[in-house]
Amino acid sequence: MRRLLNCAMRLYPREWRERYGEEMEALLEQLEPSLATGWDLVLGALKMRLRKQSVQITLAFGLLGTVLAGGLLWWVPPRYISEATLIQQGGADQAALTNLLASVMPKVLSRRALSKTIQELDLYGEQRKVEPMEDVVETMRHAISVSQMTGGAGLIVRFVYPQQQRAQAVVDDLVRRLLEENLQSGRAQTLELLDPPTYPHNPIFPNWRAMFATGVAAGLVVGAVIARWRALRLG
Amino acid sequence: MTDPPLLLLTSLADGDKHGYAMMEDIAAFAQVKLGPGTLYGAISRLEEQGLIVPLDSDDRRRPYRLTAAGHAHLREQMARLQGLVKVGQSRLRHA
Repeated sequence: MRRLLNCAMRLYPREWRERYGEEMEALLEQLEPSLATGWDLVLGALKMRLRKQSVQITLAFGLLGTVLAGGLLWWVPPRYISEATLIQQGGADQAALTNLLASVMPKVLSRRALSKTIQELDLYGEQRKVEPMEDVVETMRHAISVSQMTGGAGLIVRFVYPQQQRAQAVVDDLVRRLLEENLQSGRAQTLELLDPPTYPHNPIFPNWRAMFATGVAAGLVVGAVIARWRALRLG
Repeated sequence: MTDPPLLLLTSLADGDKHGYAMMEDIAAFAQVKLGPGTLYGAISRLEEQGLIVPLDSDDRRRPYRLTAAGHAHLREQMARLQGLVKVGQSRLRHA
């Protein structure tokens, strides 16, 4: 029986045995060996081992956070933005540009025009399977941005989409249509393409560095809290 | 009261003791028989918290002493228990 108690003592972490082992052995020598004492030692060793695992628990949760961030990156579709710049021939004129936009933009962003682009470029395939074209067109309108440059010098046309080539193709299409509508409007001012639609190499979302950093940090914090809670609970 | 750390602090309140002496003392005043694993688990935790300190000894049986923080902690816990006892007794009288 005493041998069994000595075996149970070996279950304690090494550093713990180095600190308390000698005095605990002295204590065991004074006690009558029993199963209850052996069981108490086994449970005590288990608690000590769990207390010493705080670092491992924290690191495991840090790793879990990293894996979850990776999973999220894989699951969330990326978003790319392509943009083109148009300038006004004959210099900046904000009022004229505002009037021009008011005149041509409803045609450029009309349901008919956008539906045609969606079909020609095969955009929003999954959404079109489950939603009416009106909703898909509305989604596309939200992804399009036409903003004036400071002082009315020109326009910046942007489109956000999960695929690089299609984002660029849509901006190309929008620019072409803007220029056509501008010519057909019969106004004096005309737009000219300054920078053609860009090919977006990197997504604007998600930012993988920020997501991984957040995943690791959140995992470590959660792990540290759980490890602390366990240590307090297990005594 | 069966909380091992509190039993240990109470045992050390009247003087330094080594592990076996603490076990005997606790069995006498609280009728609680602590196993060696439970006893040393509580000792290591209280030492980490700075509530007790080990004393130098030529013997393998190292004695422990209550620190000032240990005294304060024990007083605080006793006051809490006294409050609990008062409430319990009062409610039993009116039950």
